[in-house]
Parts: sequence; C-alpha cells; structure tokens
Amino acid sequence: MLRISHLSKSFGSNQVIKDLSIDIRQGDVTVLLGPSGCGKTTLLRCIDFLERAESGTLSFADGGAVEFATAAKKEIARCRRRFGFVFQNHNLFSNKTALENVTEGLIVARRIPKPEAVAIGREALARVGLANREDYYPNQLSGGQQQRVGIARAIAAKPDVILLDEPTSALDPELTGEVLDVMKALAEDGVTMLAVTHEMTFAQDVAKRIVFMDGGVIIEDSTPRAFFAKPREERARQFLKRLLPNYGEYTI
Amino acid sequence: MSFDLDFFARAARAVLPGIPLTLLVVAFSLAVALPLGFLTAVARAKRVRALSPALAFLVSLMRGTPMIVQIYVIYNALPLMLSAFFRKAGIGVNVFDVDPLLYALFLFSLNTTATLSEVFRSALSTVGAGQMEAALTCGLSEAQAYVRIVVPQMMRAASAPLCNAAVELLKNSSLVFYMGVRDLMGIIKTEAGIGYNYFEGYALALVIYLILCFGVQGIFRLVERRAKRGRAAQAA
Repeated sequence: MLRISHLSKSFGSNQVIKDLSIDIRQGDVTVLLGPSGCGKTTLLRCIDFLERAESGTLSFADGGAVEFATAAKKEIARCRRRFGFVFQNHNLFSNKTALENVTEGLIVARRIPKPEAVAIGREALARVGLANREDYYPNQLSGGQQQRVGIARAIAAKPDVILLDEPTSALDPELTGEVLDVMKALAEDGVTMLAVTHEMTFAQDVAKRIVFMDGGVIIEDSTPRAFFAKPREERARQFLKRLLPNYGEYTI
Repeated sequence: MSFDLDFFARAARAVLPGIPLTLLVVAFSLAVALPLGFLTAVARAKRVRALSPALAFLVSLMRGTPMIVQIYVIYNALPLMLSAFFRKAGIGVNVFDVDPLLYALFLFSLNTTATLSEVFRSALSTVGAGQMEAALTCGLSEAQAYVRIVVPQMMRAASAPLCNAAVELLKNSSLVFYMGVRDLMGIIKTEAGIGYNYFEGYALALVIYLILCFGVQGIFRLVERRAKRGRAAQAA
C-alpha cells in the first residue's frame, strides 16, 4: 500500500536513519521495536514530514511518489492526508473541545461540511469510547482519555495508515490499558497501523509484524511469533532480555 | 499659592479637541503594530536567514533607546535626509510641508511594533511546538494552524502584557508634542503658558491621562473576559 525506500536522516553529524526501506501492507499492524535512540520516532516523523529526511522516496501503491527531501508544500499536504498521527503526549488542541479536536482537520483541511464532519467526529469518539465526552476540553480529561481523543482525531478521516509514536509512554501505568484496548479494537477492524511502542504484550498479541531497528537500520523484520520465540540477531536478543526479565530462561 | 479653578475648567474645555488626536496615535499605532509585531515575532521564531537578525537589530534599536531621542532623530534628522534624497532623485516634495503628525504616527507605529513583537515572541513560546505539529498532521496549513490553534492559545499569555503596552503607548503619546503635534499635552502647555498656570495645567493632564488609561484597561478587561468565557485555562 505504501513503500518507503532509501530514507536517510541526520541531525547535524549524527545520522539517525541510514538508507532505510520498508513496505507497509494494507491491514498490517506493525510494531517498531528497538533501543532508545535507534531512530523509531524519527522514522515516523519523517514519514509524516514533521522532519525533513535528506533522501528517500515515499510511494503509494495506487500511484504517485514523492521525494522526502524535495516535496513541495502541496505534495506534503496530499501525503499527510493519507496518514493519521498519534503523538506520545497527544498534543490535543487545548483551545478546542474533544469533538472540535477531531473535526478541526475535517472541516478546515478536508473541507467536509460541518454537519457531516460532526457526525464523523462523533462516530470516531464513540469508537474510542468517549461519546459522552465530546464537549470536554483536553484539560478536563484524564491522560488516557486525552490519548483516546488523539486516536479518534487520527482515525476520523480514515487515513491509509495510522502512525503511533509511543502512544502509551507518557501515561500512568493504570491508564495504558484503555488506550491499548482501543488500538487492539482498531487492529481487529483492519486499520493499518505503524506503531512505536514499548508495550511488549501489545507487540506479542496484537501486532502482525515486528520490525526491529538498531542504529538507524532495520535488522529484523518478522512475525511476533518468530521474533519473540527466537530473534535471529544478537542485538534483538539483548534488547528482549532487557525488556522481558524472564526472557530466555525457559525453553519449551 | 491658589488653585485657579476657573483656568482648570477653561483648559479642560480647550483640551477636549486634543483627546481624539491622542487616541488616534494610540489606535493607529496599535492597528499597525498588532499584525506587524506578530509577523516579526513569527519571523524571528522561525529564524529566517538574514531577516531574523535584521529584525532583532531593529527591535533592539527601538527598545534600547529612549523614545525622546528617537523623536528628535526622526523629527529632525529624517526630514533633512529625506529632502536631500528627494532633491537628488528629482522628486518635487517639500518634506518640511509634511504634517508632523505623519512622522509621529510613523515613529509610534514602529516603536509599538517593536514592543509588541517582544510580547508576542514570549507569548508564542508558551504554546508548545506540538500544537503546530498536531495541526499539520491534521492537514492544516501553517497559516491555518497559526490562526486557529496557536494564536488563540498565545493570547492567553499575551493579553496582560498587551494591555501594559497599550497603556505605555498612551502615556508615551504625550511626547508627540515634541514633534510639533498639538495633542492634548500640547494644548495644555500652550494654555498654561498664557497665564503661567502650569500647576493647574499639569494637574489637568494627570487627570485626563488617568481617565484615558482606565478606559484602555477597561477595554482590555472586556475583551479578555469575552475570550475567557466558557473556556477553562489550560492545565499543563
């Protein structure tokens, strides 16, 4: 559905992503894993043009391709419509209600008539279980609710792919569950997702594909089953050992 | 020493026509400085090459020198330079015929732009970068994001210093007298000079400026209340 090829990105002299290529297939729930600083977040941000990559191409299965480095404003806007982005700290518009947060992009950017946009917005909020909170401002919602509004905002326009940048990392532990449940429900509905997360249970149970990155390159791309049972790469094994205390102690 | 109430009443009537002129200087400067000051702040925040340092220098120039010095420079030096330039360029305009009010409006607009650009610059920094990024990912253009998301949030931090700046501007507008503009201060000075009633004259100026300042503050309070209505302050 979408292909990223030969993407490179540096911050100053530090090359964070090195000639990375990845295909995203329709209905994929891909979890990006890797030690911190390995370029996962930067990859997501480059895909949605929040960072300018130095090189690389973004191409879509239905035709059309753009160069990350040289894409014009209009092309960027066109690409962004194909993505929804969920931020680590949700970044809800603090001067807008939950419903307005969801409808803002629909009305202003996609020029959907307001009544229609409101209907779409309500449906999106219902999907994340917040139908009864549409008139609340972000600061009147809990962290988990805020992030669910953030997800509703990302899915409302039915983009091709939802990019999620550590959607639960900034939440209190007891609030991560509600957000993960929403993500799981979306996965079951066939929504294509590319998520950076440290939630190993989500990666194991919900992901269809695990992409393990280190040092700005993909070093393993496999199913969760294969990855968690026996990663091919030593670096991946080290990573799992750090994250899953009991990892590797039993063999079946 | 006695307070000449008759003079006070007479001068108060004489000064009334000067008030609109004072308000014109304030309103005109604000009307120019609000958009220009905002654009200056944005340009500086975005670190536009060459433009940002130039703007930074201009802002420092306007804010780092006394208003009275700027007035003398603009009012004395600028016409001289302009007339020399016009003569060379063969433009038949006699700059010494130009209404000094125009110089005053020019200088006060410039000065207020510098002040407001600093107000907006600090107010912009209270809005997290994530708000702009979220707006972009929702498909908004940068301009739309500023108008619909960033500016409304910025105004929470900007409203109090904006009011301050407006009051400051109102008070400083009394300096246009030094440019030969007969604003209310100018009228009072002339009236007082006739019978040597300076004490009454300045007392009158004090009262009028106080009332005008209350008026400005009142307007800001009204606008602020309307903006705040039904909107709880952002928690984080």
